[in-house]
Amino acid sequence: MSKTLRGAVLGLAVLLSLGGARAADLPPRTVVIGTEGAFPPWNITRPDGTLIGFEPDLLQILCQRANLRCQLVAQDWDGMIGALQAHKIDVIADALQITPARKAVLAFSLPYAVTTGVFVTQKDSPLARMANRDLVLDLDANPTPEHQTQALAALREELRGKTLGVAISSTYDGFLDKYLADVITVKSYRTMGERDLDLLSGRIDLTLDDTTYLRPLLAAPDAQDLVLVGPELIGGELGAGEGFGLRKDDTALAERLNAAIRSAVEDGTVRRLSLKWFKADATPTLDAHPGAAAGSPQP
Amino acid sequence: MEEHLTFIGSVTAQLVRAVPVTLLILAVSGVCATVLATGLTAMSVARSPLPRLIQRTWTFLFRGTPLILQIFMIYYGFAMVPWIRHGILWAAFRDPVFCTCLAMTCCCSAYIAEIFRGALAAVPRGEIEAGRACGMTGFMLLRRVIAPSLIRIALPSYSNEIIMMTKSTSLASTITVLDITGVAQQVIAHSYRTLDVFCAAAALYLLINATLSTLLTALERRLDVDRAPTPLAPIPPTLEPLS
Repeated sequence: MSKTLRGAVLGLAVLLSLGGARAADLPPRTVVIGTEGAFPPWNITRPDGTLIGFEPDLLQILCQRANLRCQLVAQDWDGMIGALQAHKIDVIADALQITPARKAVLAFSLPYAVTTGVFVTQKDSPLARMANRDLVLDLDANPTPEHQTQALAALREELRGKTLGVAISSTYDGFLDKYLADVITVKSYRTMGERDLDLLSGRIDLTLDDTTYLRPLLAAPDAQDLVLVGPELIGGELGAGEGFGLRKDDTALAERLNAAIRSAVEDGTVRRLSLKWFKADATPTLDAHPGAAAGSPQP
Repeated sequence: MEEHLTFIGSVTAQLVRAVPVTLLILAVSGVCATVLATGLTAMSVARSPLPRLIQRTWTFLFRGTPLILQIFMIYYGFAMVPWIRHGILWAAFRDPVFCTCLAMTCCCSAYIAEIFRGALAAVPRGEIEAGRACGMTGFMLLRRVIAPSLIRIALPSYSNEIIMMTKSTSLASTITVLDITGVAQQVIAHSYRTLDVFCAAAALYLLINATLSTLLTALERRLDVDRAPTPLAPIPPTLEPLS
């Protein structure tokens, strides 16, 4: 039995190394990758114009493994999908959640991270006492556990009549449409930074965004008045983790990136980088259901 | 093809519902800017230097900086000022439509005041002197002699400014106002069909501007004495020849 297992592992290793070798033998290709450069800690623009963050670090390794000559360009999120379709860029790397709605217009690579969505409000807001702070709502859970149904109903009641701000074309559009749009007002911002300013000034009551973005924000001195509230969300309309957005007809690039992501997940590169940038392990579980397997990536 | 037409149809219906927001911003800031510009024009010809200085500074500041910067400064910047954020003014500054109207009023009043100032300088001196000679002073001189000439001279440039303002209202979408452009961006965010949606939005702006320019041209024609539809009354032939 253990021999069979060892054989299987060995076979897999050989296959993987073959895969690796194949990638290196592929003809080099120049790829333009669009990122926002304003979504810390995923991608950050330094004052000198260079890009740093989880994604630039990861891409450096992935591009090498997939024999791609990658050029990282920063641009606003609201025009990024248009730029991809207009062939101005070939890949979107901007903490893009793999959601059902986006799958209709984009192809996705395998996920290279899995993170939750969290709510943030002002400390003096009545919403600061929202229930179920310790709960992670897995919207893919089937059948839905009783406590989760109750938590969603409680969330609707607590948020009734409130104004929630999100970045335009956010991961959360589908979730909000399905569960909350009829009881709250949703305001869309062109950038996360503008949304955060309005959250601080109190023009919006709360926001819903990725935990890896909001937690570091809360640690910033300017955001002392903000607080994490309510349950964390994962799966369903929120997506199955973060993947690279690609054009649907660019299957060759998808295959090369997928092989590289798989190797980076399996050899611990993703774990190492996510611990460096997120202070938590956001490694996705490939092949299994990513949303269900990940739970909360926070310690 | 049919799916395409259905999509454009439903997008246009959504965009049309946002037209009142665009028109509201245009109307409020258009009226306020014109009133303010009239005041600024009066200040520009005041005898004492202080009003002249205020007018020049106003024009320098608001004509010299981008409108989008003024909108951001009023919307995001003022929200950081404690006495606005926690004061009675917050009820107004909280509202993005108010902030847009305020920024556009300040910015466009600077431009319109310059148009009026130029037109005022172009009012023939002789007309004013003739008015004075007939015993007109102050308000009557302004109403009967200066204003009619000034409006006639200023109208073509003023129309231009109003059309520029119509297009500038789209900047409201950058601070969460759901005007035509704001709704267009929302629709794109959900459908990712950039070209169709922007074309529909552009068509609506064209329609608004075409209507405005037709109205303003008609007004221009009406006020143009040289091409007045009714010819000047002929000199009565009953004059006795001088003997």
